[in-house]
Amino acid sequence: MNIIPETNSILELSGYKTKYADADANLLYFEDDCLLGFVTVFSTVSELSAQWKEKHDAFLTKNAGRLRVSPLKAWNCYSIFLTPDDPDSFPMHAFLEIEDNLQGTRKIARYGVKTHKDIIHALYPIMPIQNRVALIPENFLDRVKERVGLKDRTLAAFLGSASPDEIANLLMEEE
Amino acid sequence: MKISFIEMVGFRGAKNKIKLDFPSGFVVICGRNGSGKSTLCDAIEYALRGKIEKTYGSETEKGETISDYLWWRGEEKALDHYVTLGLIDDNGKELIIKRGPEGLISPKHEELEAALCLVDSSPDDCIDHLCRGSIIRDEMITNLSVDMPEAERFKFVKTAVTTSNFEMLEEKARKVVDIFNERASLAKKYYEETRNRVSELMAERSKMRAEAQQIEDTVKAEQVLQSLVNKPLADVATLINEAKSLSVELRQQVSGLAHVLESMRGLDKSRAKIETEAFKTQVKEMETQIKELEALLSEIAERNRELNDQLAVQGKLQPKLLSLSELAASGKHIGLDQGACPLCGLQISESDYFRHIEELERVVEAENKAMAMLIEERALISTRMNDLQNEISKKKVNFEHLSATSNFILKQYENIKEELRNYDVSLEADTSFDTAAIENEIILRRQKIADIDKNLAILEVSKAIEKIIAIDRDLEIAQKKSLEYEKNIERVEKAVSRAGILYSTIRRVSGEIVDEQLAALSPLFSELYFRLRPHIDWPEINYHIRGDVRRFLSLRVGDNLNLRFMFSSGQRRATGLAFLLAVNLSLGWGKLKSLILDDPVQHIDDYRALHLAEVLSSIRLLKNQVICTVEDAALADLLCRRLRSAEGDEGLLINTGYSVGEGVKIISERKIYPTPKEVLLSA
Repeated sequence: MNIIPETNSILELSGYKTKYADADANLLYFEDDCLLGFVTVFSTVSELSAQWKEKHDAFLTKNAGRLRVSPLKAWNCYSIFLTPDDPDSFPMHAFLEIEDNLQGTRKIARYGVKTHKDIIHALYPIMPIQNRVALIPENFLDRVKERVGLKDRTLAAFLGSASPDEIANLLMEEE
Repeated sequence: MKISFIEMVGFRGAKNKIKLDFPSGFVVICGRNGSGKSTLCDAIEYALRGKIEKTYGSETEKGETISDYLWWRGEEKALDHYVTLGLIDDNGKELIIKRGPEGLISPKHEELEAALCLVDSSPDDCIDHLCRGSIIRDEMITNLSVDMPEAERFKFVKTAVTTSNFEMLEEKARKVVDIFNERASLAKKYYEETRNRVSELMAERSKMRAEAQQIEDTVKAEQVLQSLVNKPLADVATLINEAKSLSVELRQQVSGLAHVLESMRGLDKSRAKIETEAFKTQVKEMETQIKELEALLSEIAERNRELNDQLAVQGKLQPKLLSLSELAASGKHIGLDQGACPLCGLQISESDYFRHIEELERVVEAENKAMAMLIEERALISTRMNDLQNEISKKKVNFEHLSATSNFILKQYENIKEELRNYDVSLEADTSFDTAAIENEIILRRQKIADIDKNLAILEVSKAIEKIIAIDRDLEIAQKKSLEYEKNIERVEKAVSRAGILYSTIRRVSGEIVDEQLAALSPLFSELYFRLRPHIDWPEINYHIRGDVRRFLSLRVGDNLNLRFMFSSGQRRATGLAFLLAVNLSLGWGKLKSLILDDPVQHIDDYRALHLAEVLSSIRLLKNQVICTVEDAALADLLCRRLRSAEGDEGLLINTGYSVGEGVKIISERKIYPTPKEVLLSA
C-alpha cells in the first residue's frame, strides 16, 4: 500500500483540504478550518528517527510566512511522521520523545503503518470520531415476555407500578 | 438541540443574576475551586431534569440531600430564585426552560421530552438518561475509574449503557420471590398446624370412644337426676348443670348440718346442767332468800321511819330543853332573891328552890338522853339497811345470771331450730334435741350427693359421645383445611417457581443486554481509549464480564491484565472518561448535541491535556457543542485553540470568580473567533 496517497484519501474524506508539497510526492500538506500540518513517510524506523527533525524544521522554515498569518492556527500545526517499518531493536522511547516534543508543532510519529486502518489510527488526533454507534433502547420487555410465558396482564403489572404483593397475587392466578 | 444561554438567580452558589449566552461551538469555563464552574453545570442539569445527580444515587447526610442546597443559602437573601436554560435547534427554533423552587415553570414536561429526545425510541425517564450521558462530572469519572470494585463498576456501567431500570425490576422480582418464600413457609406452617390439629383430634376421639364404652344406662341416670333435682328440664345439659348446682347445695347443707349438730351437742350439755334439781333448788332458794331479805328490809325501814318521826318530835323540844337548862343554870347561879323565886317572885325555901332546880335539870337530862338513844338506834338501823340492800343486790345478780343462762340456752335452741328449718329439717316444738334425727338427715343428704355424682358421671360419659360427634365434625373441617393448604402449597410452589423464573430471566436478559450494549459500545470506547492514550504501553483495552448471580466488570489490557492494578489513578481516570464519552456519543435517541464536562481532568501533563483537547476536537467535528470547565488557565487556553471555532460555530472562554457574600460572578467573557480557513494551502 502506498501510504501517502492513502493518507491523502483519508484526510480528504475527513474534510481536510490537501496538497502535495512542490516537487515532493512524499510530503502532503493538509488543512481545515482549525488545524493544518503535513504528513511524510519514511522507509524505515531509523530513517524516521534520523530525519524527522530535518523535515519538521524545513516545513517551518518554508511556511513561516504563511504560519505568521494566523499565529492562533499555527498553534494547531501537526507534523505527522509515518513508516511502514517495524522497529527491530529500536527503542520505543525514541518515538515517545518525538511526540513529547511540543516545540513548533504537535508531532505524531508512528511505525508499522501498513494498512488503511493503521493510517487511521495514526491520524486519530486529527480525525473525526470513527466508530460512532447509536445505542438504541433495548427490547428488554419483549425478551422477558418471550421467555417467561406469563399473561400480558401479569407482565404489564410487573413492569408497571403494581406492588410486589399485587404481582404475587397475579402470579398465583397464572396456570 | 444545543444550549444557547443559561440564566440563574439565587441558585446554588450564585446569589445575583448571571446570564451567559453560549455559542454553538464550545464554551470553556475557567476558574479556581469554588468559583462557580460547577454551579453553571448544576444550573444546566437542574434546568433540564429538575434535580442534580452528581453521582448515580441520592446521597444523604444527616437527612439532607443536595436538593436542600439547590437555592442560595447565604446570609443575604437573593432577590429571586430561578434557572432559565435556552436551547436552540439546527433551524434556529428556540426552547426556553424555566424552573424555580416550585418546579418546572415552562414548558410542559412532554414538550421538553419531545424537544430533547426521539420519544418513540427513547427510554422512560429519557431526560434523566440523557443528562446522565451528557453531563460528565468529575465525581462520575472518579466513580467509574478510581478503585471502584468490579461489581459496582458493572452496576455503574449497566446504568450507563442501558435504558431500562433493571435494578428496579430486579428488586421488584426479588421482592416477589421473597413474598412467595414467605407465603410458601406460611402455607407449610398452616398445613403443619392443621395436620397437628388432625392428629390431636384423632387422639381425643380415641380417648372419648374408650370412655363412651363404659356407659350402662344414661337414661336411668337422667331419670334419677330428674327426680333428685325435682324440676322439669328441657335438656341434659341443663339437667347436668342443675344437678351439679344441687350437689353443691347439698354439700353446703351437709356441712351446715354437721355444724348445727356440733352446736346441738354443745347445747345438750348446757341444757342438762340447767335442768338438774339442784340447779332448780338453787334458783328457788335464791328467790326465797331475796324475798325474805326484802321483807326484813321493809320492816327495818319502817322502824327507821318511826325513829325519824320520834327524832323529829325530839328535835322540836330541843329549844325548850336548852332554855330550861339555861334557866336551871341561871336559877342556881342567882339563888333566892330575898327568899323569893327570882323568876316568879314566889316565896320559897331555899331547899325547895334548889330541889326544884335539880328536878328541872333531871328532866332536861332525861330528855337529852332519850334523844341520844334515838339517834344511836337510827344509826344502827341505817347500817343494817345498807347491808341488807347489798346482800339483796348480790342475790339478785346471781339469780339473774342463772336465769340468763337458761334463757340463752333456750334462745340457742330456737336459733338451731330456725337453722334446721332453713335446711328443711323440722323439730317438734316440745321435742328435745334429737341429734340422731340430724345425723340421719346428714346421711340422707350425703346419699343424695353420692347419687347425683354417680349419675352425673354417667351423663358426663354420655357427653363424651357428644364430644365425639363434635370432634368428628372438627376433624372433617381440619382434614378439608389440610387438603386446601396442601393444594395451596402446591400453588405457591408453582408461583415461587414462576417468580424465580421471572427473576432469573430479568437478570439474564438484563445481563445479555448489558453484554450486547457493551459489545456495541466497545469499538467506540476502544477508539476513545486509544485517542486518550492513558498508558503508552497499552494502546488497546478490553472489558471482561464474569459472574452470573452477581456480575463483575473488569477492564483489561495486554494479556488479560487488570488495569485497576496496573494503572495510576490518573490513567484510570482517563480510561473512565473514555467510557463516559463513548456513552455520550452513543445516545442514538437523544437530540441534545451538547456535551457538558465538569472538571474532567486534574493535574495532567501537557501531553495528556493535548490528547483530551484532540478528543474533544474530534467530538466538535461531529458538530456537537462542548461545554467544559477546567481549573487550569493553560488548559483552558489549549482547549480554546483546539476546540475548533468556526464561523457560526464559535467558542467562548468564561472566567469565573467568587465574591464574599455575593457568590459566583463572571469575571470575563472572551469570544474565540475562527481562524482563517486557508493558511497553509492558500494560493
